[in-house]
Amino acid sequence: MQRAVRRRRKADQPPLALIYGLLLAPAAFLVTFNYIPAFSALYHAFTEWDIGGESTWVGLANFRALTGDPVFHKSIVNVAKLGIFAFATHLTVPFVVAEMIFHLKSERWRYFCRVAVVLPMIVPGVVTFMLWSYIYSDAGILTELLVRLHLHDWVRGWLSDPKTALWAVAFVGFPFAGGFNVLIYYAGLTNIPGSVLEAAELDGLSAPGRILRMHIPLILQQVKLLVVMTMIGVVNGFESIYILTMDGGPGYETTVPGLYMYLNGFSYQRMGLACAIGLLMLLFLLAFTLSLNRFIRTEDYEPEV
Amino acid sequence: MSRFPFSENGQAATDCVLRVAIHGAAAAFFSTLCCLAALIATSCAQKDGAGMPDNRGVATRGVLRVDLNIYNPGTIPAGIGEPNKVSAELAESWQAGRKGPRIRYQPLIQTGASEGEWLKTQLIGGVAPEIINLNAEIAWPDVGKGWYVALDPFLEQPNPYAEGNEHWIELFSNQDLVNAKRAPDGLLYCIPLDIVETGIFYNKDLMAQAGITEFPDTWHDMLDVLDRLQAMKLVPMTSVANLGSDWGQDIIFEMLYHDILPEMDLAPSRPDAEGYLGHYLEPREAGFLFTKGFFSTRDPRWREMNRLLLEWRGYWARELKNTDPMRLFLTGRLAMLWDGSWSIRRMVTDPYVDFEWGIAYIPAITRETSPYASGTPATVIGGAAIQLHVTHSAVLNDNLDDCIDFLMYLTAPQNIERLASEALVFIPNIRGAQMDPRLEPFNEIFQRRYCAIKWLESFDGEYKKYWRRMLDYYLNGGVDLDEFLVMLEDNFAKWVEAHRGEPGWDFEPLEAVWQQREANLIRELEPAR
Repeated sequence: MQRAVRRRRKADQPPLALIYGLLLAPAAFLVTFNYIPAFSALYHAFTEWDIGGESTWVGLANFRALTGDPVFHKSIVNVAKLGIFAFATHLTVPFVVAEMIFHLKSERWRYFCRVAVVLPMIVPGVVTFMLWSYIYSDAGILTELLVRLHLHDWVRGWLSDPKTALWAVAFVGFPFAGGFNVLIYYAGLTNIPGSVLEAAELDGLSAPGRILRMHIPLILQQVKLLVVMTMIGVVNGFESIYILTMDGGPGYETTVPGLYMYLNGFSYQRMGLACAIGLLMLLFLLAFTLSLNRFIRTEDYEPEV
Repeated sequence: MSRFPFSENGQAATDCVLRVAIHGAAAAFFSTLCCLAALIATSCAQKDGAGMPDNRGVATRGVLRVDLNIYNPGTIPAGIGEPNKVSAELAESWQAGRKGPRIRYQPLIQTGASEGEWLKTQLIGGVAPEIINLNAEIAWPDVGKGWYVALDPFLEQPNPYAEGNEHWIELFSNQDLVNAKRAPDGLLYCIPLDIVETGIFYNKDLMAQAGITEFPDTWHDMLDVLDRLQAMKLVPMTSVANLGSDWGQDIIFEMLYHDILPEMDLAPSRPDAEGYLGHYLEPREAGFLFTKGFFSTRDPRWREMNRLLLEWRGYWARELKNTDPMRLFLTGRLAMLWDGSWSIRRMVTDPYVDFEWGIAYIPAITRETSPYASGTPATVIGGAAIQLHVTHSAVLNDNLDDCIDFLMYLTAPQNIERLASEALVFIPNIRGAQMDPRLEPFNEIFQRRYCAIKWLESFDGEYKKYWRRMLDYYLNGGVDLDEFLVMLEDNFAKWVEAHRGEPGWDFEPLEAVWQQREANLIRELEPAR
């Protein structure tokens, strides 16, 4: 009887070959468009290569060139500044917003606020950057506002002035209160068991005390995730700079390693050097993530029964 | 253990759903494949005709792929008004009653880089459109590769679409301009269909508010006017797309070097282009003169040129790259806009234009401003606009004669006139074709001399990009004049070193001429008293 049931089920089930066959297509695309280019870049970091031409093995020459390249050094300094700014804003402001939503009494308001912070995510990033480009322009909102306030001396070419260009790029997205980071923090906060929150309240812990001593330690996993993601975004991202300043200018004031990699690969026809920059970025991110995992250990909260 | 990778706990319903889902996915996958195959088959079999632009880059027999840039059907020149239709109508009328390929307009993909990387990939693959618009100077390095068809033999034939024409080449009104587009091998690979020129659009109402009734005649007066406009909290002047710095240095250069250019021009231009390229410095000459101390920190005129440029920049928009100067101008916040003839279309059609405006040009630099000034009028920045090349795709696809015939058809006065009138951006370069009178101010400006060198266009690759970047940095206060001059000198030296000895970069003939003129020229490297 059991054998008959098993045989019938076997007949009803799709053949394994079909399943694996269907998996083949995405796997082929994944290998072709993700893995092969990635491994090719690893190899080409040690070559002199112009796309379309022959690549020549040059060993560590590209890396040596980068160690003496002032533009690359400048790009590292720039990305470090952007990174510090991003950590200071993209990790803290969303946390404050998530806490505020979490503390709302009305579920309806909480829902409304969640939607409100997520809604801007539907605007494509390119559109946001172009909007900010307009905000910074001579005919833009920022200039208009300052002129209306009779602060003519404050008006400047925000993206053209070497003193302000990098900070103008960093400020894109102000007030940094929306989007994904808020949701992650909020999810972490809602995961804290109600019993723990009640106990803290009964023990007379003040609101700031609850946040510092209880919320933050209990959402450390989320913090870690956001730290890693922010770092990846800062190191790899250059779209905003490319759209706002076009070439990482004025001079090299807004050039970051990601943009320098792009310029080397597609504007200066030095794909080997571009791959070397890419490899260095990868190694940095790998080291950063591993260090974070090693030094900041987090465990899921398991309430004692 | 089931060979099916799901739970075995009697979930018949789940199994059923999954089975359906997997079969559905399989069906969708194969349907997609079938659709793709059908699409490819359809696109191959489809009869291509004139119509809206198509980005397909597949070489197809029976079709002529044509890029007319701003004249392409569907394009809205200057971003205002109705989309172009005339080019499609011309294609239809050319095809009517004619056996042979049909026209498919295919705009070139703009990669944002003037080197045209995308086009190169198409040319290497032999799949570029048969007729393309490209600045002749960009094509020159590649003419030896056989990517472009020399048009000289065809230009000697009569154009059957132009009444009474015996030699097609005679149909072009500015012969100097045509000959200036000859490649270094002396052959002509393009047809300069029309002419573009720049001018200063100025708001007469704002000028009147500042107490200015006439556009200034001299550079000195212009700076005075700009001062007064700036005092009114206006943006006194700016250029489109941050081109002012590029155009500005070429214009100032000529006015400061004008008196010594005949001596500096060690390799005279082609006699048949003298009227346009008189004393134009080709890159090799510039490179050679650099090795003798010109265009370096030793050259006082070079310093003066960059000083004046920075001084002028103080009156431009603060945000050079991201500001839309046309918006500023139309909303009365910008008094003078240095722009191309293409903007005339917006100025005459935009409903926001509710003020009196005029067109003028950069005034002459006089001794009041600089001891090196020649006092001669500022030179022209523009030149040939649409430059149509026939690529080797025409040879590969065996439709070269059709390409030539279509080009002859386009250049017939009655046809180019229709194209130019509809777009209202450029001046036709064809005899007998009437120009829209609204373009007349630009035509007048174009009668001046051409600039002595296009600096950024003369440089190439990373040297050009570096210069542009550093110029931007300098004009925005990133470095001072001394630092900037050192940067330029360093870049110049690397550029010369990279090209020295290359074909077309032979310094020996220049050295011989230099020996004769050395005494006079070296004197010019001493600062003026």
